[in-house]
Formats: sequence, C-alpha cells, structure tokens
Amino acid sequence: MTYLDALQTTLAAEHATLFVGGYLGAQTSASADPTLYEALRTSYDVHRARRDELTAFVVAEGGEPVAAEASYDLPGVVTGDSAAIRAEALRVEQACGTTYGYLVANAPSEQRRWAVDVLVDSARRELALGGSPRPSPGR
Amino acid sequence: MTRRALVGVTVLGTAGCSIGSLDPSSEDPTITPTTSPSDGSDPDPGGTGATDVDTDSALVEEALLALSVAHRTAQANARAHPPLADALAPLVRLHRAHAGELGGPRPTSGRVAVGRGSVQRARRRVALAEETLEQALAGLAVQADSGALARLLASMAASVAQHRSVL
Repeated sequence: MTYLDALQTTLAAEHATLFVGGYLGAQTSASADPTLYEALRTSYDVHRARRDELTAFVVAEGGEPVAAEASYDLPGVVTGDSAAIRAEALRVEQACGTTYGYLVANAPSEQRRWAVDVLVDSARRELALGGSPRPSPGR
Repeated sequence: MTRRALVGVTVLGTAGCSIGSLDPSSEDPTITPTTSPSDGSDPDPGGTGATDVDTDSALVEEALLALSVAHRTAQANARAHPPLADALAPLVRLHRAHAGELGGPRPTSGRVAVGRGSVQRARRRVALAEETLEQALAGLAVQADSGALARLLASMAASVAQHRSVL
C-alpha cells in the first residue's frame, strides 16, 4: 500500500460520502428542521472541499484521480425523519473519519499533517450530527 | 517507555488500521473499518522495526508527559471547584485510558494552572490545557515514524478535541 493508494481510497470514500450526504440533505426540510439542514449543508461543503483537495494530492503524486461511481446504494431513511437522517449522517461521518485514520497511518510524515487535521475536524463535527465524544475516533 | 511496551502499543494501534474494500454497490457505500488487513494494505508504512521503535519511544514519552499535565490540571480544578467535578470526570477517564494505551501514566511534578475564583475561569483553564494537549498529540502524530503510532496519536487528539468541545 503506497501513499498514492491510500489517497485514492480516501478520495473514493469522499465520493461516496458526498453522494450519500446529498441524498440525506434532499430528505431534510430546511423549514421543519433548520438545525439539521444546516449541519448537513455545512458537512456537504466540507466534504466537497476535501474531495477537491484529495484530487489535487493524487495528481501531485502522479496518479489519475479515481472517479465517482455512477450510483451508490442509499440508506433507507424516510423523508422528514430527522432522527434517522441524523443517525445516518453521523454513521457516514464516523466511517469517513476512520478512512482518514487509515490515511494518517499510510501517509509519510512530511505529508501527514493535512490528514491529521482532517481527522480531528471530522471528529469535532460528529458532535454537530448528534454524536458524543468517544475515546478513539478514526480507529 | 520500554521498547517492549512501545511494540505493544504499535500492535494495538495497528488493529483496525486496514479497511475493507469500497464497494459502491454494497449496502454500505462508505468505507468500513475491518479488524484484519484483507486488502493487502500496509497499516504501518513507516515500518515498526527496531530503528522506528527507538525513534518513536521519545514521542511516546512526550505524549505521556502531555497527558499527565492535562490530567493533573483537570483533577486539580475538579478538586478546587466541586461543581465542575462531574463535567471533568469524562476528561479524567479519557486521560487514564489514553495513557494506558501508551504504556501507562508517567508521574510528573510541578504546578498546574488552577482557575481561582469562578467556575467559569476554572473551566477555561482546563479547556486551555486540553487544547495544548490536543495540539501536542497532533504534532507528535505528524512526527511519528510508525504509521500505526501516528494513527493512535491522531485519534487521541481527535478525541480530546471532541471532549473539549463539550466542556
């Protein structure tokens, strides 16, 4: 497993996260649950920025950035079911954080800072999605 | 920390470092953690040979010292401000758990900052100590030779960030 492989895996995870995140946002009412809607919107923006950064990192490493799949299986949440949507968004964020933990482990020291910072940020944003502090985010 | 203890930490840190395959057609479209390296990935690309153990031993000691200072700060402020004790208890448990993962707490001496006067001031003191700890752990994660140790320390920094956010 090379650093480039780890970047590609993380990029693939971000593609999936964006797809699911967009779906969850579409199931949420901005007027009925503005707090959740805002949390999902912010999360979507953050993941999109990470996807773009990862794409640039892959190119810088001489790779061809892995493309998003045409479709992904989606969680079976009911439109407007805020609790289920929030729980699914939290699960996705935690899984994405685990992927960044993997990137931390596979990045050379001089290129690890970004992944560490993203892992910490991801853990912090779990809280906005209803998560609680836990001892080992990203593992 | 002894060489043997650090190797133990590295092995612990390796568990869960690999990931399962990303299968867009599967039920779970996101990366899911596994506990065994099934994809041929190297969870410890920096290696965990003897040289890395020697280099990383110093980092583990630094992390334990940083944990100790934060731990004593939380305990001292909880003692000085009993209404804060419940709020600080999760932090105290977290420090103990993290120190245990790194081979056990290190006794340290010296004064720690206790917020005199209001509870709010004491809370700010503890939050500042936790911020210092978070930054120290993140910085050590970047420096580690062992990828597994880097992940362990980064995860600890992330956990401290979470706990700090709800203080």
